[in-house]
Amino acid sequence: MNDPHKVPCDRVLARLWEYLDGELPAEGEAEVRAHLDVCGHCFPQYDFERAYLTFIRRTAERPVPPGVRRRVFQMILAEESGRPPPEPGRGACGRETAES
Amino acid sequence: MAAASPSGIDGDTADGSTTKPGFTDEALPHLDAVYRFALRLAQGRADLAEDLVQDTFLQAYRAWDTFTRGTNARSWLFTICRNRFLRLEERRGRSGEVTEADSGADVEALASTAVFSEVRSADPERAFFDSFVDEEVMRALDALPTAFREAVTLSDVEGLSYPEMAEVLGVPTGTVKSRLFRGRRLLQQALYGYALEMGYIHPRERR
Repeated sequence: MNDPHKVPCDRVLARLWEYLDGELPAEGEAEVRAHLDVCGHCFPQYDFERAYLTFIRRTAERPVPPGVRRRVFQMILAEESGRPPPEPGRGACGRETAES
Repeated sequence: MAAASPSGIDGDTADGSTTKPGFTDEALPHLDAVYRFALRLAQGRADLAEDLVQDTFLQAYRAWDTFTRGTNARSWLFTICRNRFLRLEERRGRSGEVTEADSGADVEALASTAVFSEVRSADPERAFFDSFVDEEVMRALDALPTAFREAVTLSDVEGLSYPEMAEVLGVPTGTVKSRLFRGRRLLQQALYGYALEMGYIHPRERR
């Protein structure tokens, strides 16, 4: 397994996602990495998919509205103390409890 | 009065009241992640997402005794959230959509290099991913069928491993990969089509 091009490109591309997800066993990962280091056909696709993963991770992390956390705490405290919680399925959107 | 730290929730109160030891430390830290996941399940509807989060944590709190402390609370919470969402979908007559996604021969029709090669020829400066604002990406993600939307969210947004996803989705790892890879491909195709539509990129003439 010394020549990375003894591994055909389509075999590498078929495992590209698993490689990027870190889900290949060590030997498979080493094989893919060695191939990508030298292959002008496969590396650009790897580069593209890696850019996609970086991109989607970044765009999808959004701050949680602060009221969400507070209302979950209030609900659990109500449950804790035996008071009836807010109606299930209605949430507590925009509603302040009378006691607060 | 906004409770910043719910000291009354787990068993650490001064009066030693029996409550739910560990819930604050092990479950509540995942609140943001559960909300993010719920928001994608709800296809961007914040009010439905918040209902899901409330329902999830209430159910988790009530069922806390069944959870083995020190194990994967995040996956457990995602499972509860997802199951609640699917039950709501069922009530609205929208069940079955998830398993339908596992069938279909179109998976082979999605050539693995299709999106990449088209983007590459149209966007040599590689500005493709930079051309989108977050809302556009979320809309494309939210437009995916449920099975693909949740797989991409769990993996690419929340960083779950394949085995963790298999646990949350209740399917074998092979099915996880199938849904995830197809979901990514569909999302990329949607973004590519949108970029063309918006003029972010221009298709090159093929010789």
